[in-house]
Amino acid sequence: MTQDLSKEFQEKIEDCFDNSRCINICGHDSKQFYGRTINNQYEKLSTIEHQGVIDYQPTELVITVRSGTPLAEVESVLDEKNQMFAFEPPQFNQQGTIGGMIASGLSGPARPFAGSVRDAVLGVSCLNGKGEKLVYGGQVMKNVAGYDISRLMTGSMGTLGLILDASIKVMPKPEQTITLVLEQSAEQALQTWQKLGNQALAISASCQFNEQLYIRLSGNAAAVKHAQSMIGGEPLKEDKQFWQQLRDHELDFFQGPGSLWRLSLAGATMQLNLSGDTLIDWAGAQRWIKTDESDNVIRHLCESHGGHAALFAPPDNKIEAFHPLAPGIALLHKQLKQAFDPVGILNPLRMTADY
Amino acid sequence: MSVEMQEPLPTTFITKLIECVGEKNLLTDKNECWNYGYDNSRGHALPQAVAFAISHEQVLTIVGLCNQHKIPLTTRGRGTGTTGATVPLHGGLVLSLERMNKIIRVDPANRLIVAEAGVTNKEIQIAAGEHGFFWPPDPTSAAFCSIGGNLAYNSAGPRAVKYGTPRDNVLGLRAVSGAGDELRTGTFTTKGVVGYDLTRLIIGSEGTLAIITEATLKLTPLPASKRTMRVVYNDIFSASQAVAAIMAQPVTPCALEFIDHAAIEMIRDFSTAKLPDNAGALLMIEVDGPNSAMSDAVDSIHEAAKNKGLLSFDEATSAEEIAALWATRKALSPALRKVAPKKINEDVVVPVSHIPELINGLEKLATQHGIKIVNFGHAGNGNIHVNLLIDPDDPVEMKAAHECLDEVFTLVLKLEGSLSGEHGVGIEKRDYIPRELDKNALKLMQSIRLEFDPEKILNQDKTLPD
Ligand SMILES: Cc1cc2nc3c(=O)[nH]c(=O)nc-3n(C[C@H](O)[C@H](O)[C@H](O)COP(=O)(O)OP(=O)(O)OC[C@H]3O[C@@H](n4cnc5c(N)ncnc54)[C@H](O)[C@@H]3O)c2cc1C
Repeated sequence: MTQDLSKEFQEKIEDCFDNSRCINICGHDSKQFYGRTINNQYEKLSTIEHQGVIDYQPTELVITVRSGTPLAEVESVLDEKNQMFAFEPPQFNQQGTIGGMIASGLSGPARPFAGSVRDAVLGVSCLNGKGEKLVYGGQVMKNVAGYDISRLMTGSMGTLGLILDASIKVMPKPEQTITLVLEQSAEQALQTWQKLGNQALAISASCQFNEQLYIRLSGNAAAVKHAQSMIGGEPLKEDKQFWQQLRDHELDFFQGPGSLWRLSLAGATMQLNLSGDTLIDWAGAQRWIKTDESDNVIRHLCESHGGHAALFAPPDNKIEAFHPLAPGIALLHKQLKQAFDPVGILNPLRMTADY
Repeated sequence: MSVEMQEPLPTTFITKLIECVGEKNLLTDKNECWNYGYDNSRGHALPQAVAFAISHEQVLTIVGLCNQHKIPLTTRGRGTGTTGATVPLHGGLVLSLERMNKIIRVDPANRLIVAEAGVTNKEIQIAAGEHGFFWPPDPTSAAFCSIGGNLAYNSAGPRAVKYGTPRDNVLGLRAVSGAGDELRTGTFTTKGVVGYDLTRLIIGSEGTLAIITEATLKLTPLPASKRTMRVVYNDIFSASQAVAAIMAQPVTPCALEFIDHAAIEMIRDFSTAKLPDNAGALLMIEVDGPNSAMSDAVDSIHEAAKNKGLLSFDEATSAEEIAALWATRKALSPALRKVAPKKINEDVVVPVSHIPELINGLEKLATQHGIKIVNFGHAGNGNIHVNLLIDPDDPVEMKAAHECLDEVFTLVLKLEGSLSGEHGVGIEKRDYIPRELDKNALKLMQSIRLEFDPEKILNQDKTLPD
């Protein structure tokens, strides 16, 4: 399906701006659980009928897509040309739109090795909180004219504008991919990552849980073989499914008891002393923990290691989903929000309790 | 560059500055200040004072003072920029960070380096190299330019095609906003972002939002080996076709440089480098990775590089062979310097498939305006350096060059490109910006600028038009 609803969206936001009516921008709602809970009285503005690939030039390594287009559909278009989004965006419940992918800023297991969704967004066009259409960046890989607004929009949870369409960098698929499994504890895995980290090996993902270390290799046959000979371990069958389940939180680990926290830490940080099960991803830089520890304890501990923590699926807003910002930064955030959305009608309180 | 009549700097301001940085870190003498009035563009304006900060705290105080007294403040790294961004248009204070040159921490376990903004790119590469790493941004000026300047301009070089620009290789910043507030953005983790991505917003903002005092740079392991290839085509169409095919296969090269026909002719005239007679375009390609993967990687590139216009494909493995292949490309800069020492060098970007149209269009413009234009650059990401070989001291040539440039930018935007890929906007391209950015986007950028710098003290009248 191809349909351009820009005009309708624009009129809607203009009207909401004029009447100070708040709106809840959504796609498939597949990430509704992520971030703060939004007031369900707000009018919903769904992007899902604003669909279609506007431009795709495989040789330019870029695709331009309307925000309501299902991610799965775009990935199959890329697949036909043997290309992919290198940042492996999650598709919770097998759903998700391109707009949601960018607004949530979430990337999958490949992220530390192939870059994040932010790295891949080359340009966006969007509607701000007054309904004005703004276009930033473009389809070229390098661009230093003006400020990098496309990246500011990425991960802003729809609080700065409604994304109409985006140009996203794509990559050719690797020639070969295999996954190796090694019996290793978290401590051993952290050491292994240290050892491997200073070599240019064809690693494309690595995680550890249940005393197993998983390392995915991607590249040409010789590069994969070389890395395999350095790492050892046993090849994993059905590895594609394994990484997809990790990406989309379908592994049993994610179903266990306790609240799910995402800790962002420097990769070499030792195991934190917190109760509950841990799954370490991104070669140490992202740690999922299922725990009943208090938010204070978790956040304090993370901060003491220079990291931060997000409560991934908060049941309500009693505990802030995102790590609190330092006062100076928080003020700038507020001012930025004001510059994009002066009346504060777009996804109010979705990111913080302040706006 | 003309500077309006300036009020002298208030005595209390100078006294406070001396209290802050000490007398030996402050210049007020006109002759001494002169050297801090220019960069590598054609612009010059005399600053009224130059302060050398040696700490973040001093920068914080200085920005506070400039706000209090409403003194224009221009941050300066090493002044190698090419678009006039460090030229103190309104006099005031130049804040040089060249003495903030400490590497604070190299952390190989977490693959990062924390350094003050005045450290040169080369010093970073040396410190990282000792642990088997490198920092990908590699401007040709690496030996002289500061990382603060690299970040402010989002400067890059050939390696960006595989490893990205500073925006992709910085984990976090310590900075002072134009309002005088201390900021810490980003984290020590894999570019984790809490809230809005202020790190990337500040990177590339040319010192108009905040002054970067410290940066945490993400390091990449040095590859075990590298192969270099030189590929010659009979025309630009075949070369561009090959560039697209090379980028679309899975082995991303770590350099994919291009030089056009006019540049090849120049190399012939000024060096002994041997090239096929009918060479119309040349690519220099490098791949890196583990030793055992190199021959497959070269094969993949060779396969993608093949088309009807291919004239020669040479691969180098030994250091001598590599040097011999690069000699052709390296002969270009001295040749250009001989012909036009003060040439105008633009760095535009177009989608790779539009490179032939760009080069053809440029050839037409060259004839039309009677100016020799030579093009080379980072073909893998469509970033082409367009060189107008003119004598800026000749007013007739200069006038023709300006008219020609105007049309060059029109052509680039028609081809869905951008006015700059790495050299930035500064003063030189400021007035062309409204052609690339739409009215609303520009308005929003201006309001963001005001939020960071309400008194408009930072790099006034640069980067964004009013
Ligand atoms: C021979 C030569 C080769 C070059 N090659 C390349 C190349 O290959 N690729 C490329 O991209 N560029 C190149 N350049 C341009 C230039 O070297 C780069 O732009 C470089 O990054 C500038 O660094 P600098 O320290 O000299 O910055 P400056 O020129 O001093 O400053 C540049 C801008 O950054 C701001 N700034 C500086 N430090 C800070 C800070 N700490 N915080 C906030 N703002 C700051 C300034 O206000 C100004 O706007 C070249 C220049 C020369 C002379």
